[in-house]
Amino acid sequence: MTDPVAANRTVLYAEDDPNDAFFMGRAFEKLGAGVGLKVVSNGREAIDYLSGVDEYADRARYPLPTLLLLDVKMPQLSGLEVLAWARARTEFAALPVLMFTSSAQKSDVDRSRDLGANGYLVKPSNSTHLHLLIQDILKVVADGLPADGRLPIKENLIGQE
Amino acid sequence: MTYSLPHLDSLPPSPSTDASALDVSSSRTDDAGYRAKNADYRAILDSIDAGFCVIEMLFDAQGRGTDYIFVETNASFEKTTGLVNAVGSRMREFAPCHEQHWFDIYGEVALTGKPVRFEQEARALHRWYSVYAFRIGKPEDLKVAVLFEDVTARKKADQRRVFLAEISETISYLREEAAIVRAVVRALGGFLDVDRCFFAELTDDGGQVMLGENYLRGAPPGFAGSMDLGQFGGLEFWHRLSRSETIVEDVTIHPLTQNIAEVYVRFAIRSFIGQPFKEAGRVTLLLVVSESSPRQWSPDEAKLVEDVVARVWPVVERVRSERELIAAHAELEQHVVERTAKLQAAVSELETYSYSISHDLRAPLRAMQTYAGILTEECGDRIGDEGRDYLHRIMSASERMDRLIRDVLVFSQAAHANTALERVELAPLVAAVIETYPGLNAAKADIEVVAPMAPVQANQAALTQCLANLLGNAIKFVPPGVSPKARVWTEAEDDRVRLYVRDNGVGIPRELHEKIFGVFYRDEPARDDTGTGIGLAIVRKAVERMGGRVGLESAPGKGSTFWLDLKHSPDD
Repeated sequence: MTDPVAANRTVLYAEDDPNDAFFMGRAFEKLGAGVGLKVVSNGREAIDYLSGVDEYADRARYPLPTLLLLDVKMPQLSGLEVLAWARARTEFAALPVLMFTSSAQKSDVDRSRDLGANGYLVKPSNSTHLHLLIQDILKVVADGLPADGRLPIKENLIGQE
Repeated sequence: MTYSLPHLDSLPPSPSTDASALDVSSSRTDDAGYRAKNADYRAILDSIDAGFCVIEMLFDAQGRGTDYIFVETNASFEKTTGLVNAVGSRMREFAPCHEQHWFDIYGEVALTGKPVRFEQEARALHRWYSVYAFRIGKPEDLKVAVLFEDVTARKKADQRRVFLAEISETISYLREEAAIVRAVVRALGGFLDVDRCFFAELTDDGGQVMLGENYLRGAPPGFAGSMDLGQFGGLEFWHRLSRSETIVEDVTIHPLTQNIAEVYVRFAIRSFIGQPFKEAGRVTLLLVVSESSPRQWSPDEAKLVEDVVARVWPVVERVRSERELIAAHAELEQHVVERTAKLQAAVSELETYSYSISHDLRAPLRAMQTYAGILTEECGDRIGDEGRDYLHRIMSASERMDRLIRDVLVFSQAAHANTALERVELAPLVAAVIETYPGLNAAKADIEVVAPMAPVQANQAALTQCLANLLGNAIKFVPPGVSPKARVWTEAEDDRVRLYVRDNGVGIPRELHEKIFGVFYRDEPARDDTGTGIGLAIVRKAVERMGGRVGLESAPGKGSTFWLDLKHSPDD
């Protein structure tokens, strides 16, 4: 099924774990409703993608994302560094950014909130939970974030406290 | 001191004359009886230790005493005054600068006839006197008899005693070594009327002499610093000085200094007293008073320098010890700060490490679980029931592993996290736990909360964790067919509050009451594969961190009552 509105929407996912990247790709195939998923394997590449460096200059192949999913712990540049970089630029200041990581370390959650992330999600450990989460994320891709700028799902650790 | 001899004015006057028996110019000298009596009195006067003289006052035109002539002296006069062959001479001839007040006092006596008793210094004679003076003979003769004693020694001793007391008093208020040294050299230099006064101390390497601030007569203090010991005779000379008090009247003559006298003279030191202070056999310093010209030091002056050192140096030592103590204390505090910082860094690193372990352990686990799920979904129909059962087992085992990792993390947090205590209202906390935690809600369990509950001193997060674990256990371990029931209440006793959680579960045999609080303890055989065996270990760790205790009453078949003792938080 292809939603005409969603057709030119893209989620950029920075993830160094190939398994997690695979699961996300598979979930998007099943649930994506035409939303594209672009995966890069570290923070450096994420910034290259967003800046349109080299091959990423081809926006037909690498469209600017509607939402950014960032693993926190990655080689080269961490998700937090990408977040900080994006928030410092006017063109990405309002881009929805969700941190998507294995551990709910409080210092990381706090830092993400301070840097302006819209959500902090702990990676679910089975595909059922993953699918539920991605449906919520796709809703944001389709409708945008609510006025408070916070990802409106209960698993979001930002805004819970 | 007073005189034990009869005073001459108390002698019976002659009934036939108004002149005193001692009036040598009296017209009665021809009288044989008087002569004999005079001779007797004369003998008495010559036998006493006190000086005695009769003087005739001289006045200026304004009637002020200006001088006097010695008319008669006794045998002790010369010894007591140092004046030789005084009779017939004027005082001003001996001592042109004799203080005016002497003439004023004697003039007054001669004019008024009122006897006086006083103590006074005669600088010209370098002495102090205790004096009794009275008019003698006819008023118009203007004669005064003076009976006096040399009290210089007592007076000087008094002054030294006062001086030492003042020095002790002054330095007792001072907290800095330099200030003490300054006060002492100024006071002693001034008191002894010397050119220079200073403390000298050998440096640790023995090559230099550290000089404290100098007293210089008539000049501002200066000269603090170190000097090369070599030119002053070297270490050997220092040791010689250090052995005992050194009194040098003239550096050019004294055997100790004559070979290096020119160095001393160059520094305007011609004579000096060096008084060492020894502590535990080691010489720590010298107090030196010096003069730019030769000086005959009196034993009293040498003693005074010794007394000053004896009084001052312990104070200097004390001040130094205090300073070292303060420095040591500051250093210790610095150590504590550094150690604490290191410890905090270590704890923080440990936490980060725990998280990173959890992150690294959980990633492959997540992959295993998810792949197993995908396999079930996509190939379930091809691998048959048995295959699906194995996949299910893989997923359950990895889920359990995941819970274990998370609980270990919680436990490590309970052990290390900051558990700052605050006032916690128990009723809302218990309600929130019941509402939030799946499995505790009314549909699944009957939990009765008995109000009111006493407030406690606790850490909100840690106590929440404890309650969730206790309530979770309470409803989990029930016999088959029994619906779980729990009751929560508090009892306050003194400054403690005991929070009870009672259940209708299977109960715990006595021998396991301690074991169940250990990490990874699980009820065997496992009736429930969702447990990790860490829950009660977390409770105990968290309660201990809040300064409380945890315990239980339980027996198989009778249910269990767990309790937490926490500090009562009294109303303000």
